Amino acid sequence: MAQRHREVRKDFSGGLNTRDRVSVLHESESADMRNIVVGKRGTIESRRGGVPVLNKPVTDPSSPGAMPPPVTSIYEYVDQGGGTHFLAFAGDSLKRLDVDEWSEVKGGFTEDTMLEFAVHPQQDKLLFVNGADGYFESNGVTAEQVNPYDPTLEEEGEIGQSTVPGNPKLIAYYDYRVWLANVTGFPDRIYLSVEDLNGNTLYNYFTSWSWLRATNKKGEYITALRAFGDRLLVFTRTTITAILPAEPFQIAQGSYIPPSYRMQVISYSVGAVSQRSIDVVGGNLIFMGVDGVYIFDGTNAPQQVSHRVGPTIKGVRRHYWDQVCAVAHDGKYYLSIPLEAGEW
Amino acid sequence: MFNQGRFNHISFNSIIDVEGYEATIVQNALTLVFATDVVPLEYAGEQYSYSNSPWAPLTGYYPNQWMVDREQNLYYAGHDGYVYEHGVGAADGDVPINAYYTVPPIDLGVPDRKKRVRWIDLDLKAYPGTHLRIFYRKDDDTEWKLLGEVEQKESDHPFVKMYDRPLFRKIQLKFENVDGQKFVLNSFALDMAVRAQRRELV
Repeated sequence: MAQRHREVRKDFSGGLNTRDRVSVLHESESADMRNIVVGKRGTIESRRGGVPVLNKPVTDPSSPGAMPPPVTSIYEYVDQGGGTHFLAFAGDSLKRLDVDEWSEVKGGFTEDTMLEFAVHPQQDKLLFVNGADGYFESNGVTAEQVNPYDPTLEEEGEIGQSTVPGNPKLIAYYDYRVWLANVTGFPDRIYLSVEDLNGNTLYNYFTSWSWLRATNKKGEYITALRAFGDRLLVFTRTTITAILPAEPFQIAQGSYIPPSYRMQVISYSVGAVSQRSIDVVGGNLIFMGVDGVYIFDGTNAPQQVSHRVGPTIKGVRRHYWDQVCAVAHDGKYYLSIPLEAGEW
Repeated sequence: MFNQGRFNHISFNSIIDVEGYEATIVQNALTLVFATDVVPLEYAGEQYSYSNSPWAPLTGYYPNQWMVDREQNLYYAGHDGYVYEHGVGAADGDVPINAYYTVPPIDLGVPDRKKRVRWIDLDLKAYPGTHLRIFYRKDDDTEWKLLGEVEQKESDHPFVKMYDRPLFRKIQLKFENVDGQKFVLNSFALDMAVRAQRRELV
């Protein structure tokens, strides 16, 4: 004796679950799927593809038949005149997308470095660093090393000599000034640009004292800087610290009192593994920590949202955590990670 | 309140875990997509509405950096030396995209009962001239068996008949595209016979 039964499945909104045994998965989940995206109504569909923006590599191979060097960095800089500059870095050169070719903006960088960019809206400049060659500025067409500000004798005495921190890896624009972090020899420092005696906050005036330290007893270096809301967030792999303005700078009778900032530790256990893993979703930050992906409102404790794919995320090659990159786009957060050879 | 290093004479001396950028970078071989626009009802009540939104793994391309331009187009820096716009076309350049989805084992909550599937109804979006393959795996089998290949044409419910009609206690299904062709699966239904089943399954 058998009975007829019609089993209908129309909700696939659980997505991938690599944490639980197959036998206990929810019926909307899958233990094995690939190149499938989940639709808003719980449907599934094969993902879309990608097309090169130009049928030429950004930088040609070093020898015929060799692979072109990987593109490590891309950025769209929109200047205040509305001009758009699509930039890409590969090999040792920063290039700009023209109609049918990649035109060199600047060459001679250390190969395969990862550029981090920040726009200075007041100066209408694109500023960038790569952790190896210094601190650069660009108008989208050409680029050059930032010349340190040349202070007057009075400024030298009152504020200090001008010196650009060596080879910063991270850059941010916050509170009308430029912040450079993870510099040579001082990977836990965040340098901030200062004012001249006329009260102009400069992008190229740093001094030997104008820095803060992302204190953490674990001795971790700074992995990310992100201006968010009223604060600048400083990440190490397992900590988050917020920098908040305390007192503005003052200039009175030729005397300079520097701005003061307070540092507020947000988390001693959660941080971000890379600058490029951070983006904004629904008004909150989302980023990858050492044990998963977290959502963070900038104030309260971050909340992990990757429990169901925890084993997959923990398989990231630790040595290459710096390379993890992500983006939030159209209701989705894309997180690209390097795994051990043979996986996926 | 912390202040600048002007009054701080303690120099850096205790960074243990110093790692620089690697001169040679590796491929980011796996992209996990967190669909924050999908909120499963089963997971309501979290701090953020999308706390339990689904994850999905994507492979076949190797982004070193992602970027959204001011027109809201999505780009990535490719490890192969090219810059790509993502979300356009059905292939990665010239490379077809292999896509599949496996359903967790179906035992109707009565794993002790033997069952047969008589046919499968599919609710697919129509892409005439393209096909979708359906595989099945019963009980503790490790190999997938091809059940059939259906054309994704205009039809309310294309159904696939199971000709060998195996007897099983649990069955798993796998949907896979053919030659990188696109597919959208809205739902499927299994018409099953459950042996020695006295009560109606809900």
